[in-house]
Amino acid sequence: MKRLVCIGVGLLLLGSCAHPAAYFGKIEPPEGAVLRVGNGADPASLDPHRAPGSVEEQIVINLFEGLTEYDPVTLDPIPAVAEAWEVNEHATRFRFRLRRTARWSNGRPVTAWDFVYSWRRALAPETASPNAYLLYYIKNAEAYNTGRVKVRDRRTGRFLTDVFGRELMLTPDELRRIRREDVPSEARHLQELRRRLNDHPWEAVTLSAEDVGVRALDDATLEVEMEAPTAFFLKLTTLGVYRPVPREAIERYGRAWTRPEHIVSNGPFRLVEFTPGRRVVLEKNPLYWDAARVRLQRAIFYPYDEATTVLNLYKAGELDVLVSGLLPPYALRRLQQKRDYVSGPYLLSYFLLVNVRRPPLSDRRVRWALALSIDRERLCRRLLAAGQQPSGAFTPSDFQGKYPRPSKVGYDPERARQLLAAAGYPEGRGLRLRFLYNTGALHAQIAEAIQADWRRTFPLIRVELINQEWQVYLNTVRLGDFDIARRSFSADFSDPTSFLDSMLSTSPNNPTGWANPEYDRLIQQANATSDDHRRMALLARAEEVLLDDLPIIPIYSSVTNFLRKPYVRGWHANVLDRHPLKFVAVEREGTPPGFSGR
Amino acid sequence: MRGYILRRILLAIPLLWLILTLTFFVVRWAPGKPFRRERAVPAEIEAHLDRHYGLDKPWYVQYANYMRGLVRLDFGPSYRYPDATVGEIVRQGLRASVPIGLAAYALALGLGLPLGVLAALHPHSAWVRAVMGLAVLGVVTPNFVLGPLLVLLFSLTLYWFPPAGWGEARHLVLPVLTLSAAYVAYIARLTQSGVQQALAQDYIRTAHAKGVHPRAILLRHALRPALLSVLSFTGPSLAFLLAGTVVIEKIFAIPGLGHFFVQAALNRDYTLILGIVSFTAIALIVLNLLVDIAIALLDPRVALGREG
Repeated sequence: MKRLVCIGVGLLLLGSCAHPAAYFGKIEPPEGAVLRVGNGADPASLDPHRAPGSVEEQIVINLFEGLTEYDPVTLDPIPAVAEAWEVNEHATRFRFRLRRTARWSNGRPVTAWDFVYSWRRALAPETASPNAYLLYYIKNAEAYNTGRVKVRDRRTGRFLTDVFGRELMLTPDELRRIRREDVPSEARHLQELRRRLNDHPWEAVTLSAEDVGVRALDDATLEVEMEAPTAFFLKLTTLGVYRPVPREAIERYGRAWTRPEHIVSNGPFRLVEFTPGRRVVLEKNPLYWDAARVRLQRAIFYPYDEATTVLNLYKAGELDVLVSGLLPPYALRRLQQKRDYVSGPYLLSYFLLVNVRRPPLSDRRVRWALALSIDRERLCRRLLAAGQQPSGAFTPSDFQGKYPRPSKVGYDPERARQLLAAAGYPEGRGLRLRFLYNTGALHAQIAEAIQADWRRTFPLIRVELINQEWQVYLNTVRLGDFDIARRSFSADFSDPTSFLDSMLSTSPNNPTGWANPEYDRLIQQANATSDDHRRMALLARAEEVLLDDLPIIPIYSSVTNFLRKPYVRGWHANVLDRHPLKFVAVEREGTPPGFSGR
Repeated sequence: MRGYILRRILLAIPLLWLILTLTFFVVRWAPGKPFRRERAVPAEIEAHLDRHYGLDKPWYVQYANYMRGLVRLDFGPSYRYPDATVGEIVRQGLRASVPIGLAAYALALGLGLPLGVLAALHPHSAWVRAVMGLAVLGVVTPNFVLGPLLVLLFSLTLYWFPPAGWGEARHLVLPVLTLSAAYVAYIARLTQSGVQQALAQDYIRTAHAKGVHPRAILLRHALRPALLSVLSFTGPSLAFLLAGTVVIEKIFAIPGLGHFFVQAALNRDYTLILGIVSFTAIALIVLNLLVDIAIALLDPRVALGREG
């Protein structure tokens, strides 16, 4: 049904713009300094701790200001509430100096205590924050949030650590088993731990909010202690879940504190309206410490998600800019010729999950054969056509040259045939696979293209495509009930760990059944390394281990692509598609004359 | 009559209970869970979320809690919108769906009724046939074709009306036109056949013979029975229009009840699904009851509450 609408309107649209103009549709700026954003969906919540994804993040970062802010182009952390910071040699202790001019929208100064309160709230189990895991780098944060205990030696008063010097954590269940000496023999790390504990008088320590490693030394000094060296911590302090929330409003209004009439915020904008399904309206916050710099008076976020509708609204001049990924594929080639089309690299990997528990996929040669027979170059050029890059790795980028990204997987059908024959499936004989994907975007077409590649290389292979609705698909993947499943993964912050952590044997995001102690060890070692250069090298080695085994088959690295009216300034393409409105303006002058899209 | 109404209302209660119970279990049987996203969160965080919303309890406890809430008209918090309650979301959806639904139906009546009468009086006029043909075209053109066509003409070529959106009067025009198109023809057809049937009755001939003015015959004697069929069509179709018209809301990005219903189903927002289902069921029951009462008032042959 949705597709019918798309095709119908698509054809009409294409027919109607037979004479290509430089811009797509109207280019007269709106009245006043207002920006109308096509944001792709309704925000679930404007509470930074309960806001689950990028739709919410896009709005929340303008309402609440963190210690650091995104640079609008590079996304590097720049001073915000914190005007300066220092970090110790091992990147385990950070000290932030807060600017004394920072104010909440009710006039109260923003202090270090606000951050202590906020981070403790984000981690409190009662808050049930879906993003709490992003704070786990802070000392005791994970233990407090998940209810795990640490183990202390009674004689020395020190916590027991693993080989990398990180403090051990036990789930309540593990603790019970150790106490009852009821440790299954296959749980090797527990066995080992039990043996270690027998040598010491020990106690289990439950950690509370007060134990979380964030302290206010005075109103303007915040000190954060990390669980392990975290060289990229300043990238984290920019995230929505790290931004401060107003204690007075939360304690007074509970769940309803984010309503426009109750909300107190400290960012460059404040909330004046949130109507689910219709719009979110922000207005410039006059009490913001850097208000002189904020040029927009108003910003309106629209939740429209139907690609054709969004495109129509943009063309008719009802939207000024779109977030990435809203453009209908059928219109891409035409839109790419317009001057409002903007595109750039994006930290999103598209890949296939391989269920390595199931034969014949448990055979590494079969996985490699499948990977080597996909013509990614052609897929990107012919089908996707938005500038996606064929990917030979799990991580989608070299992170501005800092990460020696290995790229191992290419297109080599000859070698693929040899490998599959060696594994006992010449020409694909007897090889049957079920390929799972979800409804939406171009997933069906991508699956069909890969299926065709496999058939071309292995004429006797049988690949069954299985299409499921989103929630059903998520469930099937979670249960591990698939042979091959499509997946994409975008970064929370611009660092390779944001991807690589997900393939740890303990990660909830690794449904492949793949567990490699060498990989886990390298990642943990990297995470315990303070020297960034060495850390990146260790991560790259871990990714090499991953790519040798191929529990995931890389397909492509994605791109951001969106439309932006010529009068919009300061809204740039960047690798996370984040756009702090503090730096955005609508300029009435300077629009090149003589362009009309009609 | 009063007894009849009371009985209908009492009968509606077990019906509603059945609908809600079925929905309650069907949505839970569907694979997936309310808080699942592409990026999985640690098991402990998932457990916090489940505990927060009482989803960690056995199904009979969840069911009992939900029904207890319903008695107090508390539909609970929405899972998709943790800052809002289901009641607020439903009210929000109605704020968009009701004006559009009512306006579309009023337009359909305003055009369909006269058209039907004209068609009945002049069945052989070429003009009337052409207009009726156009109206039938309205029925057979799916609204997901008509909507985009109107958008193309009025929004993207003439730039008269916005192609989508909600909140101002100008946003109403295209969706209302699209939505009413199918109903105009339907009502016109119903009216036409009703009036034609009535005009063939003996009592009309008697009235003619007695010298009653033709206009009075039409309005007082022929139109009244013809309206009955239109009226019985009104109940279900109005409920359908008020409960939200998913396709129209999708095309024109209207935050109506249908929009929230589809979103809720996709997100496994159990409480919101149940809230909207119960509203729709109540609307359907009440509107049907009102229509039956209105028919009884209009048609002396119908006596409510009496057997036979």
